[in-house]
Amino acid sequence: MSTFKPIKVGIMGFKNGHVTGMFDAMRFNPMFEVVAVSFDAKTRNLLEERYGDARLFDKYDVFYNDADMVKSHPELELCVCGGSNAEHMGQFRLCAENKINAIMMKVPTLNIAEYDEMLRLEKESGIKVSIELEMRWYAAVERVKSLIKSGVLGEITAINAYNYSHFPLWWNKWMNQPKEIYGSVVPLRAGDSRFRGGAMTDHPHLFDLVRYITESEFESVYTEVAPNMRENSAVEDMVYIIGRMKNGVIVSLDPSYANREYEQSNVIYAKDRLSHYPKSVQVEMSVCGTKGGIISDLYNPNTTEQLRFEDYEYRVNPRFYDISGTRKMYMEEFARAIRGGTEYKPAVSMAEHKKTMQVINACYESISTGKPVNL
Amino acid sequence: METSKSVKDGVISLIDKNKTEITATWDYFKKGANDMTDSVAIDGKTYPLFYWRSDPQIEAIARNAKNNIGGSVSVKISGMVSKNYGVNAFLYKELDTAEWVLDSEIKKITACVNKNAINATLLMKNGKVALLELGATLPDGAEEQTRHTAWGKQGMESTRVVSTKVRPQSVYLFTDRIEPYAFNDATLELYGLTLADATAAVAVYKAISGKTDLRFNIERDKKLRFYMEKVYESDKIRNSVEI
Repeated sequence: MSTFKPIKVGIMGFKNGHVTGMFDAMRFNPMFEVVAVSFDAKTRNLLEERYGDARLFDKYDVFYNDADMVKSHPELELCVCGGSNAEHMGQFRLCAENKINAIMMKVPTLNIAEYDEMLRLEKESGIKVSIELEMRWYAAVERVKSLIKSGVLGEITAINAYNYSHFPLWWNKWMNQPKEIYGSVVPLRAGDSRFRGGAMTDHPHLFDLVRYITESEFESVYTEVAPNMRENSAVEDMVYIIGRMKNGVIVSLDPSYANREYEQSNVIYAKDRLSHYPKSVQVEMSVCGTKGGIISDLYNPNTTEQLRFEDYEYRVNPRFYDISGTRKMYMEEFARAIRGGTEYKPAVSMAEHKKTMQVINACYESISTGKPVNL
Repeated sequence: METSKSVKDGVISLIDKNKTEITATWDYFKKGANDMTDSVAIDGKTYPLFYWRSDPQIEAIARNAKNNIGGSVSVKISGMVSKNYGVNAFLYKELDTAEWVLDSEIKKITACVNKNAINATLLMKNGKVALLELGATLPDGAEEQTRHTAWGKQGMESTRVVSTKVRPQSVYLFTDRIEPYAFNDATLELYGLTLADATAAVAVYKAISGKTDLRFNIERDKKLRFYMEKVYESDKIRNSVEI
């Protein structure tokens, strides 16, 4: 490990909520050297406030333009494309044109023409690309898949799952701006004041997991959108999808922003107050088979409950071993592939993930037409 | 539905996934009937393994008892282990946990012992209090069911979420019997291990990679055995025992 030459990293955007987690993991990992960061001044101020550290970025070369950062640092080997979803295309293009490997967020883009352009750039540049789809890192997902494959459930008839979270619209305001989250301003349906880009866009995991676990593709989807819980939400926050896979399995997927959050414009990093609901993220899945069924909590049921701080905030927190972590494994595997020049086999390739983006768009089309959509 | 992977398999996986260089020879020994805990042998020397200090939930209690909940005042440890694990080994484990969570040595022990059950209060030197309610009643091989709860001046933290009595599992499989088969794969590096074995594997990995001070474990072992004698002394004299 000590002989590993650190991967030189640039971070673009810092708008996606997962980017700070990657930044923290990389800046304390000797396999990475964060060289430069790029964001807008407002995001910088917000981050410094959240971290409670006005000198947080002192040790990095700071830019307010992604292109300037890439131009000034030809030594960059890896960039985290962490802008708003609308910014991903530009960031990916910069990476590809400068032969910089890229970590993409869970929604590279929902614009399929843009997605195809990303695939072209990926192929032509030869860069390595990894998509940060955290639910693929959970062991319970592998357990459910292996039980299904073992045949113990007989024929699988249905898979139902939900992915609940808070809606970060208060502190990540771009996530409530249709252009930034969905990539374009598209009304949900005629006569509806809301736009595409809410819970369904932010929670692609369910679609990905069903494809992964069933090893099948969506045949059709039908989507109902409920009235929003949040008056301030410009995009859908409660949404339900039913559908059918090509192998006959029926599915029900609920990616709603069902867990209410604090209505605040900032998150004080040291206290990470996010949700009124005690557990900010939940991912659970049930499976029906002709010989049996599965009920599962995919998002780590090994929790503690907690009352904390001066207002005795109630929390339920997943707890993990303190020595490793799948995010670290994921990043280090990518670093070794970059340094070694070896083939990188991501859990989800860009080409594979395009199908998930297409399913989400089909769900939006279903809302728009009020009818099932065949894929 | 039995898992086929062992603690050693888990350790090897952790070494591999973390690209850790281990030069020492090592071995892991699961607790025998008369042992107080598991052990790890490194280059021929055997050390007690405080595997519970690697349990993410217990570690969170210990950590937040010093932080988020505003400084602990007490801890309650209430639970059951299997008959073959034994109530004495359970006592050994939870005496260590109580001192760890409350960040203090024990000052006074008051205990009642009845065959496979031990109840004890521990008054710490810093004035904090621990209550232990321990039983060795579960069938051999059953997963330990213990609730660890710490209370502090600004809150509390517990390993059981409101109204749950047993440890939740990640996957429940219903097939050929009324009760479900259950799985609790905690992390991909340790996929296929039970949660208890995964925790033991993490503890062994930490020990052989130098992340644990094993000299501390040896000294600690002596102290915990001393405390255990005092628990039985308290029960025998029907009175408190000052340490």
